[in-house]
Amino acid sequence: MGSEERWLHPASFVFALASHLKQLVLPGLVVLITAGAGAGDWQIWIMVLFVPYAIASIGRTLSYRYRFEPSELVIRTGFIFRNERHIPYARIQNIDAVQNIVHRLIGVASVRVETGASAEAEAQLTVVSLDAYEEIRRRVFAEREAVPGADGHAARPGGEPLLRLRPRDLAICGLIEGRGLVVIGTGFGLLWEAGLLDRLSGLIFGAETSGRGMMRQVVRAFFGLGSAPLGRIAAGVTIFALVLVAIRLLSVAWSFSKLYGFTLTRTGDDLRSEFGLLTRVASTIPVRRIQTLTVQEGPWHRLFGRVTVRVDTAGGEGEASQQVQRQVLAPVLPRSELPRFLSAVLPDEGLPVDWQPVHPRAFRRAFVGAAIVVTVVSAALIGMLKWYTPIALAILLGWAVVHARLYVKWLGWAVTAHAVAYRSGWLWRYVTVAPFAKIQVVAVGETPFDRRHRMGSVRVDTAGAGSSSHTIDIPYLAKGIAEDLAALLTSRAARTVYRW
Amino acid sequence: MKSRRLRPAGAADPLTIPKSNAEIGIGVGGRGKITCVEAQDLQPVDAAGPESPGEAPAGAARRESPGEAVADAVLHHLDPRVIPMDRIAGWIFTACVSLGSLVAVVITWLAGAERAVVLLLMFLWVLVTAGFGWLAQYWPEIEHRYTFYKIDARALEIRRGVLFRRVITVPRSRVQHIDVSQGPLERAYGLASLSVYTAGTEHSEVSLKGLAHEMATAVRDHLLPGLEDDGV
Repeated sequence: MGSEERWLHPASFVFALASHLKQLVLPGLVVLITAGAGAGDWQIWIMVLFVPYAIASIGRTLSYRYRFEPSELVIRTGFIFRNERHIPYARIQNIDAVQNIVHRLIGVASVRVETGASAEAEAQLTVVSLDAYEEIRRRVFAEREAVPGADGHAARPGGEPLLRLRPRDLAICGLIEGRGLVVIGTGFGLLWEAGLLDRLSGLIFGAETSGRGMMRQVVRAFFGLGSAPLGRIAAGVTIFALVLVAIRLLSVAWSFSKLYGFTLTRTGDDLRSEFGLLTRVASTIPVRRIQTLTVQEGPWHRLFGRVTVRVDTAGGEGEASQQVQRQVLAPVLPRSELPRFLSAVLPDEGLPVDWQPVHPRAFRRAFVGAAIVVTVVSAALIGMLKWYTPIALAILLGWAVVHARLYVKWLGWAVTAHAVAYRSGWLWRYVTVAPFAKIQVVAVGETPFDRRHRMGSVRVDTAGAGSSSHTIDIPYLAKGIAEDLAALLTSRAARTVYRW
Repeated sequence: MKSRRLRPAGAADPLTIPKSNAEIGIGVGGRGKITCVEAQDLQPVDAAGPESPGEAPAGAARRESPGEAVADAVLHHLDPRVIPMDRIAGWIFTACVSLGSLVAVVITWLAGAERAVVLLLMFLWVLVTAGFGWLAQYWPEIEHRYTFYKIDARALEIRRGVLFRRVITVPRSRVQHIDVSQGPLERAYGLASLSVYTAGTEHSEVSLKGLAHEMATAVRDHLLPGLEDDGV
């Protein structure tokens, strides 16, 4: 028999209540403020519908018990409808702890226990004391596999940190990510709703220009159609520039609050990361759960000589594509340290050096495709552009040439001893590496255009590849090369055994 | 490596595929004419595989007759009975669409729409019915001509697509589970659909519709991980 049953921390009740109050109060406030006093009361009263749900959820929190069996974690919930869940230690992939500022004051943490089965955490313990968290971690990981170096070491972040972000790195990270847009966007929307924007622009541009007409005015003035005084245009441009700067500054602030004190360490077969200023997050990624690794480098990255490293991990059975977890392994990493970092994270995989180019006629195909789109768009806009159409077309075609040339130049694929790699993009460059052991399906595609040029594409399907991920889908390969590559990848994948 | 025939001898496929064979360059090259039954007497040829075929591990020697016969590394067509079956399904669909739109046209007419409008709608209705009818009659045969599957010791390969062609390869070691299902029409024709599930994202389900039922179960038995693979 395992241990006796443990209950959640007594403060859990407060947090459960608070989370529901937040759910009810926040939308209520937004409705009140934006709709104004004139709106009917029904919008408030509709909130009452949520009360039974809240009571049920709080009841579940109060009834939450867990115990450690020799080989599984058992969780019991419910007073009226009872549920008992058994989670074998061997299936537990990840134990995360999240501590927001209140949690930290009391010394508790919200713990998520994840298995490979679903996108949602298998068990969400909100909240337990830090000692209890350590106990869960120690018990689960000690039982999961005989980690060399004993459970005591495995449970605590030991070893040399692979990456530690200093304040300077955080500032660069904020500048690169440009997250401020989200904050600005939300604020803008609220201002618009509240009608403050009109008043604001009225102050700047004079009473006759409303906020909605501002952009049109500027555009019209630009094309010499209307007559906006130069001063107003200057004011518009200045505001635009200020907004851009503010976006980046907010992004830096976001980066500080989210990623403050970021450390990544490797302990045994797990990668542990800890970060956060107010809300501390401690998460664990088992190395074998990494499906693909992507190195990302945009224009801002190049300015500071940094790269971002992400990994896709398997979230579920692969049947629902939204079960994607893209985890940032290194928010910013000096470019020069990339090889050292990768060899520490995945010893078998390095970034390949001998990149293979795509088909010599790839440029022609990339350009023709872009040229057709550009021509159609210009033709459609002929009514608006009038005599400017040929100029616009020439500029766009020039751009198409540059784009196609650089795009094809940066396309490449490589096969190393243990993995296949694909790179693409020239302004925003991505390099993705997928170990053979994680390849699920290999597909060779052939469109009618491919057929004309005797080309094909090779697509490598892995678990946890989201629609937004940079997946391995190599276009413009000579047909023979595509077939050989697919056969090679299939045979390499077939030799390995896939483990979750 | 002469393998047993999996299909009744009488069901020899009259559909030769010289055209498609030349066009998509199947790995068995040289032989202009492959029929479903003849193909099984050919030597297993690895389609464009640079790897040595000598590494057939567990699969070769462990299953009983159907398993061995299935993994012959030769491109096969689907069962030819899938053509009449798809035709029937297509005609049923066409009939539904056609009747539905006819009702809509009649209602428009009774509602007192202008004559020209009704005539135009009638014309469109004829066009749509003819279009769907043509597809129902001829598409199954075209599709059949371009659909192949190949099974060897390490993988299942499916070729499909008329305009946009795909060669999808699922290594045996990546198969999570397999469904063999039969609808009423499939039951009447003795066919079945095989769905192979992987942990992948885009190809989390790879399906092959139109195998003889016994063939589908044989493929399933061959692809499912056996005892040897479990301990690893």
